[in-house]
Amino acid sequence: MTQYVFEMGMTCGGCANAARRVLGKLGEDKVKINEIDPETKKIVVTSDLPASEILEALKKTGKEVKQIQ
Amino acid sequence: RFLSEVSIEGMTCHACVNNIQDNIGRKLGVFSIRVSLEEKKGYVEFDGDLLSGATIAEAIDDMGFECGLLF
Ligand SMILES: [Cu+2]
Ligand SMILES: [Cu+2]
Repeated sequence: MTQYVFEMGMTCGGCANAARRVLGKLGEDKVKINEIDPETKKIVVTSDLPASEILEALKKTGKEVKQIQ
Repeated sequence: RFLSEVSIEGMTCHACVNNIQDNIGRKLGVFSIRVSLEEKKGYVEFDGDLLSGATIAEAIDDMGFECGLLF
């Protein structure tokens, strides 16, 4: 399991929910969400999946997103 | 030219509305889209040769907003 940190242009709870939902679509228990905070724009997850796959999923929300850690 | 109506859950503000309108609006085959935050609905006009109501609902759902085809 690896921890990844992403910065996403979230502006409201709707963005945070969308992020949560697209990550859930990667498969049950595939991604553990540690933090999704529209205020800090940070998404912290733990997963066995490669970062690229998680990044691709987050991009589907239509928001600007990049991996920062 | 087809018109479909979809239900959209999870939007909280007009940024959510614009995000969906911009992303779906630039899809090939979509002529127009109007999303209503108050009604939790989207109205999409599209080319029936390229798209269906179901594929549009799925595209919105893929963005992270629970979406169902109404008609
Ligand atoms: Cu938002
Ligand atoms: Cu919003």
